[in-house]
Amino acid sequence: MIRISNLVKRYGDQEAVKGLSLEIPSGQLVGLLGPNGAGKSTTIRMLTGMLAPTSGTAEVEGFDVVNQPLEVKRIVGYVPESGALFEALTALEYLTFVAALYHIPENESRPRIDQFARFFDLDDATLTGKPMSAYSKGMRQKVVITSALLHNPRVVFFDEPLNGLDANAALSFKTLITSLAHEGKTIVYCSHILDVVERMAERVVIIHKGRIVADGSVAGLEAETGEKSLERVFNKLTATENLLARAEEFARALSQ
Amino acid sequence: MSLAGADRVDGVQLRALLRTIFRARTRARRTLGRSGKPRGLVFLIVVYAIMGGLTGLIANFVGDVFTFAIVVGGMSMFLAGMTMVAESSALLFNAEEHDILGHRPIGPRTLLLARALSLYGLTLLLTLSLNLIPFISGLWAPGARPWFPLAHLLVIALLSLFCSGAVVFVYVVLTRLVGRERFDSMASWFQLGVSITFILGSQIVPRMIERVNGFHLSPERPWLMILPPAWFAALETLLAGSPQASELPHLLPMAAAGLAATVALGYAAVVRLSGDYARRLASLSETPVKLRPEPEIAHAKRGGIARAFRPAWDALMRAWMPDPVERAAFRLTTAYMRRDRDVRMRLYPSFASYLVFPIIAAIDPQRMAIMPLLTIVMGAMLPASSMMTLKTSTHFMAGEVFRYTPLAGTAALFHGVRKATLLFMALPVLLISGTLLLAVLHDRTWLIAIVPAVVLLPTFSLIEGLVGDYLPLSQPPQMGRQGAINIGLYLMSVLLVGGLSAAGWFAHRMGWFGILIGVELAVVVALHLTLLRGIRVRKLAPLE
Repeated sequence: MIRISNLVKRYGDQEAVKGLSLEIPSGQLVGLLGPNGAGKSTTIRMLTGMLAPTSGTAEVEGFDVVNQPLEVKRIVGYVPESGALFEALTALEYLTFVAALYHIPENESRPRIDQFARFFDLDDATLTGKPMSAYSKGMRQKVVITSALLHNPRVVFFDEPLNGLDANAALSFKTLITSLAHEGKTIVYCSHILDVVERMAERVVIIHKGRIVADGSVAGLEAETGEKSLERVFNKLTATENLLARAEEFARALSQ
Repeated sequence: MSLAGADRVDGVQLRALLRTIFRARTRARRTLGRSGKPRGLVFLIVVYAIMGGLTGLIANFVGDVFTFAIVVGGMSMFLAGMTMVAESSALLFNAEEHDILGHRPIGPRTLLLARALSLYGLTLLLTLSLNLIPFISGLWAPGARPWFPLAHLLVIALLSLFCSGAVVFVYVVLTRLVGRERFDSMASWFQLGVSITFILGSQIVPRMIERVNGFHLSPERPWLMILPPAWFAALETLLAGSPQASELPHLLPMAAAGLAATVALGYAAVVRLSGDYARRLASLSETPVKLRPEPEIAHAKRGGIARAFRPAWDALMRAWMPDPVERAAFRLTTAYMRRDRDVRMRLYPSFASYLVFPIIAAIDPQRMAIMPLLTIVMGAMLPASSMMTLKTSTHFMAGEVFRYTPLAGTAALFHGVRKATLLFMALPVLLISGTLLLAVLHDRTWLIAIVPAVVLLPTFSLIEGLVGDYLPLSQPPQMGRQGAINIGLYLMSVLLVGGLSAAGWFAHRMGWFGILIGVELAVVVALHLTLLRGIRVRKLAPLE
């Protein structure tokens, strides 16, 4: 269960998140959508205990993110949008390191790492033979995803997890997410690829300018707004006007 | 599963963090298709060992263990301190690493201790390299006991702990005192302050040594009590020297001060202030660029002044840099010099040396004649070292832009960066230090000796353009690299500038000064043109 009440994050005079309130029951797969700069990543960072809120409260599985950040961090997994990892390490070294941070002994972590490696088609030579700086973006993303799931978290936050994944890996990953949700894990999935969210998420929350502007099932939102797809709903609620005219003007300016 | 709380250190996590930080900082990192080997640290260790070896030879000339220990300790503190200040920003406040570690269940104390210990490990590595010869040569210092090497090892370990503790403490206090909005600019100033303290602390003492029956510094001098190298020299004398009874009342409080300061700094930084550190670390990667609302009137006024000068400035820049690529590189560089925390924190400690040498000239009138020379050495070093620093950035992946844009060579990029460092680094620093020197120097005849070195300065700044492709901000920061750059250039500058100044002084005494300058000008102009041509025709090498 994730419970957010009046959550605010302010930077100087800029309010990135403006009094967000939300409840996500355990085992739900929620798509968190919003245009660039809407406050999605900031919200996730507050929920993972990485960033202190300016005001308001947030609880993850009953733990307060401000007063019990370590308890929160033990039960959440997070795939950051940046895909940052220690690139000078091999994948095996990095994943063993992450496992140690969760006190998973090596004799337990290695089988889990091997399992993920098989799932993502990473062979042993890739896993141990070269630093991750030599990996493709997709291979790095596979390691980032593995590192978020290694400790079997109860709540998982994915921020643009499909970044760099090829079509096969993306398909496997989407299946994995659905399986995780069936196992009762709470999943918050942030993405700009709306059709993926449309197909997987049982509930969609749309944030715009730091506020929730829509919350419900895909079908419910479509009915509410009178639109025929999630993309149209999203566009209606968050897009600035005259997109088409602006695009044509931009193209004309380039050709001049 | 037993996990530690936020208020205590988790041993399992600490070990994992230490192992990973060490690997991540010392291993090769592939960038833009090239593998970057960590040569910086190896070079630094070798250079430190040589410099320490030369310093260690003074054991044959000093009057006692205290003088030997204070000179070697001062040298260790200076060199290790400077490298540490250059590396501390990347180790302590790495925003990228926050994305990797920020959501893991690591308590702030564990995280800070891991980073502080990594800094200590680097410091210890450097001070041990520096002291390889002094460990043994110290046995020749009058009064040294047979167990001197062991005592020296212990003292050097403590001194390194003090240095790293001081740096961590300063930064952590800064995070407590200063809000996020001002942290970046204040951190640069604090870093400058720490650099000045390290240089002053290590440079003043050797200048106060008297030449009476060999080199001798009496521990009875009261002002030694405020100098950290003296604290550790006192401890070493008590452990492995033969102090006189009259010296004990002075040595004991100094040694106690060293031990107390080391423990207090470590305790305060890691135990008392770690929570503030964790909070600041979190905010570093989060805060947007625009932080403080500016009053509308002040903003309008500033904007108005900037607008008024803009056309003149632009015209001046176009005249100085007709090539638009060069101007773009100039603007890119100045933006990073002004705004990027990582670049600023590696770049600005270089200023410290300029401010310190004029200060020493003021307090050491007997030896102040050498100060113009030292300032010129630093002057020769500054543009070249700044340019090397500006090759590195945490945003190094963005350097790909130079690979996919149609650039035939790197000359325009190189000159854009060079001009930015000359205008915004070398010029203000030389003006300030020159003014300070003129104010404190009474005997200005020495200034004539530095003219041949001054003639060489513009050419010295071209050397970097011949070493590989000069692509600004395109390499990842690497442990030891900044220190290696500073030390390597310092040695090269000392040799070149020292040789030229000696020649200038000699020519002045013999009445050949005009001839020397004429010949040098001809050689330097030819060399300058050759270097410029070499840089201009250099093609951008394809990636391996």
